Amino acid sequence: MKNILYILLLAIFFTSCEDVVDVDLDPEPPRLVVDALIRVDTSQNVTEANIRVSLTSSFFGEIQPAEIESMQIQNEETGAFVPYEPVPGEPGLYRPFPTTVSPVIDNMILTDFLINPDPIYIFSITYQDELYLARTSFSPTTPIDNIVQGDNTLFDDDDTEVIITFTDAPDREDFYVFDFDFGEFLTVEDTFFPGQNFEFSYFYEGDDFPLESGQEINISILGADEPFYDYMEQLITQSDLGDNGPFQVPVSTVRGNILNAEGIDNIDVFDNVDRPNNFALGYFAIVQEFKNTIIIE
Amino acid sequence: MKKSFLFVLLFCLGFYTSFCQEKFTLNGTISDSASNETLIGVNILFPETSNGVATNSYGFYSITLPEGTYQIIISYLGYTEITETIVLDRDIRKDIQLSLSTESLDEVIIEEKVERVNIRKPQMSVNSLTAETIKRIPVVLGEADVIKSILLLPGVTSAGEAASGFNVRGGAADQNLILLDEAIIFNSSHLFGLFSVFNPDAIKDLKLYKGGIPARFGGRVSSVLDIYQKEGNSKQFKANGGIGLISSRLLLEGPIKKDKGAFLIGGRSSYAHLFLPLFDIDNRASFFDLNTKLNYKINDNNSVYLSGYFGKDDFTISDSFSNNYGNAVGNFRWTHLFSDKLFSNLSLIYSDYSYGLELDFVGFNWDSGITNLNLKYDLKHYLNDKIQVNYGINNVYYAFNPGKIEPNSPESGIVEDQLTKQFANEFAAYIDIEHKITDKLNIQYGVRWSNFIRLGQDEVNVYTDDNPVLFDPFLLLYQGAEINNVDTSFSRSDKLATFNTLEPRFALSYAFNDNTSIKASYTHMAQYIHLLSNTSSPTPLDVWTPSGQFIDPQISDQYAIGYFKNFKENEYTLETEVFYKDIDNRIDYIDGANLIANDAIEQVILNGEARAYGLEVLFRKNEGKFTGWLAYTLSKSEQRTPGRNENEVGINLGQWYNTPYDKTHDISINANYEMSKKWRFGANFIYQTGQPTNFPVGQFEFQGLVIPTYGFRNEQRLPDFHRIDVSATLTPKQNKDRRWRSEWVFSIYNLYSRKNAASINFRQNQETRVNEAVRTSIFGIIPSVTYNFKF
Repeated sequence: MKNILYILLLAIFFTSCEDVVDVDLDPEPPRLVVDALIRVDTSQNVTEANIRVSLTSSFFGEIQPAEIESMQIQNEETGAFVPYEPVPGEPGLYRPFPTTVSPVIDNMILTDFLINPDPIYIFSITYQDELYLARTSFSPTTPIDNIVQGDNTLFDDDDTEVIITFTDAPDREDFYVFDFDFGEFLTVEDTFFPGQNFEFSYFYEGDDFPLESGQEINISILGADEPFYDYMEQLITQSDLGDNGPFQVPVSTVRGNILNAEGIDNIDVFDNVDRPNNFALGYFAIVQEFKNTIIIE
Repeated sequence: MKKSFLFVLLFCLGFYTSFCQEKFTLNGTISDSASNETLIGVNILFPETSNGVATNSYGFYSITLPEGTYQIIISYLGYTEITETIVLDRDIRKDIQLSLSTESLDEVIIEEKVERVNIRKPQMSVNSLTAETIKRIPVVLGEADVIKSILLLPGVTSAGEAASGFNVRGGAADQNLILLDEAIIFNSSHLFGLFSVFNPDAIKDLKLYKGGIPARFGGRVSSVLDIYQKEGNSKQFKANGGIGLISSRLLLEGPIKKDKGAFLIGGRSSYAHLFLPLFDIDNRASFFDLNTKLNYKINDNNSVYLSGYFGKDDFTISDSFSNNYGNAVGNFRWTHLFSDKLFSNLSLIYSDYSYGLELDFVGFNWDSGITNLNLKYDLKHYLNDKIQVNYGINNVYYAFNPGKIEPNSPESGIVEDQLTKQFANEFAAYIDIEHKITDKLNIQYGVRWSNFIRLGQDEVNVYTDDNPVLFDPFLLLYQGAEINNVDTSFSRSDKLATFNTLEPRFALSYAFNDNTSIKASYTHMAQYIHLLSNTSSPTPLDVWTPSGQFIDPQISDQYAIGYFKNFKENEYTLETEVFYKDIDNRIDYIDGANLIANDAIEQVILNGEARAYGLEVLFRKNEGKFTGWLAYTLSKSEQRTPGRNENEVGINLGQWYNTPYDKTHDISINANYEMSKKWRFGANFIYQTGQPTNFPVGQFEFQGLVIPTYGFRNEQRLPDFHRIDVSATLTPKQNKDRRWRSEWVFSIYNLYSRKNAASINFRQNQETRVNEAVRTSIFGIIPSVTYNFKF
């Protein structure tokens, strides 16, 4: 056998690139969107519970506020309810309206009204003579034990790591939604750390969030039931499909828990199966929140 | 219906065997004189009688003819043809050695014989490629690649340029049975799909069955990719290898005992830190694979083989994320001749696929995988010159590990958990008859009986009315049902579910003359295991799951008809086929389905259906200085998942939607030009209709998140895909006496650097907060150089 000798000059011209392109879209007519996520700080007597309604727009268009006819949250058991009124000067934003019987002070809802764990809260809204309904319960959660800034990075040298520690509530199935500010959310479920003290890292990608020293970031843990957890997980997925290419999951319109109840009389119309495109987007949820602030070093 | 089919089958068999007169059998093995490597598909022709036979996958042939004196021609393109006269007055064993007609590094022409159309055989919808053809196709970064090569054939496509796996006639990637020396390979991709796991140096021959699949194959509903490794040279020690931009290869082979036994060992390894420029991050991406084979010829009637394959991928991002995965395969085979007419092969095969992941910033390790043990016994019975009967049994035992999670450090809050392992057994028995009715009419008919048993497991979820998926008729959402209780009473020997399928296969060919024929086929197949994958092409962490109480087997019917013609003394061949295929119980997933680490996977699965139809044209030039082919496919591939009853809307409102790999037009041209002994050139041109994709119909905002909304699935398309690749091979002048031979392969992928879109994504720019459409293109122009050697 002879000696194997080889000399090789290599040159790799490797190009994987992203560029912004023009795409003609075929938008559908505007649809009602309700952002009725009510975050409850149980240590406070009253809870700010403003609700934003808007209309879908073309993807490259401007999202417009919606003007609705009526809106309220009702406790099904007691019949007590909170009516809503527009916030002056803020189109699309609605706030609790104090009446002689409503549990509302200073346009905020009494916290005691909101923390019933049974699914008894009925949200109703009328828009263009169509009635939409949603139902929810109060989802409690556990506080964050600790937040510190770490010095690891994931994809980029200028990534920022925050290390979160919290203790899962024992003996129950928990779903958590973390709000990392800037519209960044993360969903976590406790399947693999039931009742444990759990630590994980979250990375602010340097390309997208060049955080500066001294900057304040609000990080919240939010309670969730399974449907709301699923909803948030889908929102996160669909809002950040990124450049997955061949590994992309199917896209879909993420539908929430707000159903079109117009005309459902259980006599002629039982359900929405025959009008699948007649729906509103968004979600109605009442969740416990623990809010923490960290200052970037 | 099925009963009468069986009856006809038995009748035909009985009828033709009862006509025996004084006949004798000629049989043997045909191999290469230089290496003793058996040759597949060699023609043994009897020109006076227009009879003929070809060697099987083990190089064996057998033919029975009336007593007489015959002229025989043994021909295999690239080898010197042998013509002999044989006096057939007794049974004769005749092992034949063919020698190469020209000595060249790459045995340029050998493959073209087996790749050529066989006019009279009823087998249709099959494409063959040899390692030599594969090595000559210009490819990205000069890495000769099995899967990327078959994508140039009609009816074969993928979900994008760097997608993993391949799609045959509109089928999904998990519907391909990939066999390496008969062992099932579960993941065919390295580096998430950039390259395939097969080392071209170690491969002898491959066949892709797109339709008309013989009864000896089963278990997948779309295609069979049957790959054979080389056996090893039992005459002398040989080595060959190559050095490329991505990986280097070295293969050694030689005799253990001269003319009796041989070994082969081939390795391929990528260079680590390879993809730094690709991802611009601190990472490590590498792969290796190892092919080994031992063969020993005990005597004329018995040979044993031991082969193995190991492949591994490693992908690490800055110590916080690492994953590695790969296949391991071991195979023991024993071929035995019971008589000159009865050939048998016994195989005992182990194969597994495992995936491992460590996520340091969450604090866990993750392992999943699939293991199977496969026993096969196949017999080929060359009854007479008109009938060959193939029959056998096959038993596969599967163990599925959907995932195990462990803390990666004492500080981690993760609690160790093993998701419920699943077990299953698949048994099949088949009979397949190749039958020459007249000189013009040949038929092949058979039936496979498959039996799948989902075996007991530690925990079984129990649901009200056995229904794990509920539908909300007001919100029009599917969601998982509550688990009523978990049944832990099952033992491993219990049967949770049993399925039986009778799978008839039928094919015929009618030859108008020596150069023209039509063929038709019908294939009914069942697939009992499913890859849980909700992405356009599979990812390494997708897990397989067996059919059972909640998941039905996929069942396909395929009809194909074709016209085949050889022109000008076989210099040109034309193959055209149309096909229609439908698949029942294609699994689909509810919106937002989580497939990883899901111990109740039945809660996110609905059974749908898929269908595909199309026209394929393959025009080849087989001989001369200029060779190559033009492949054109016109096809449609779609699926739907309607509601389970009228009170449900189904997925995508129950409408048909395009699969991610549906491409209306698909044109591939592959050309080779042999200019001189020194220079050889190759080129590809590929044009495809853009893949289906989704453009948003609107957007909304929730809690500061901007979320696009969509209409029906896969209604838009990416821009059309096209590119040209070229290669030039330089074989330096070599001294005739020296054994060392070498060549340089220079290639350019995507010559005009078209930015073909791998995807168009719609998102909000994080800096400007403005919505934008972003096109990702993977490969621009990529020049590369590879050095191959042999001695």
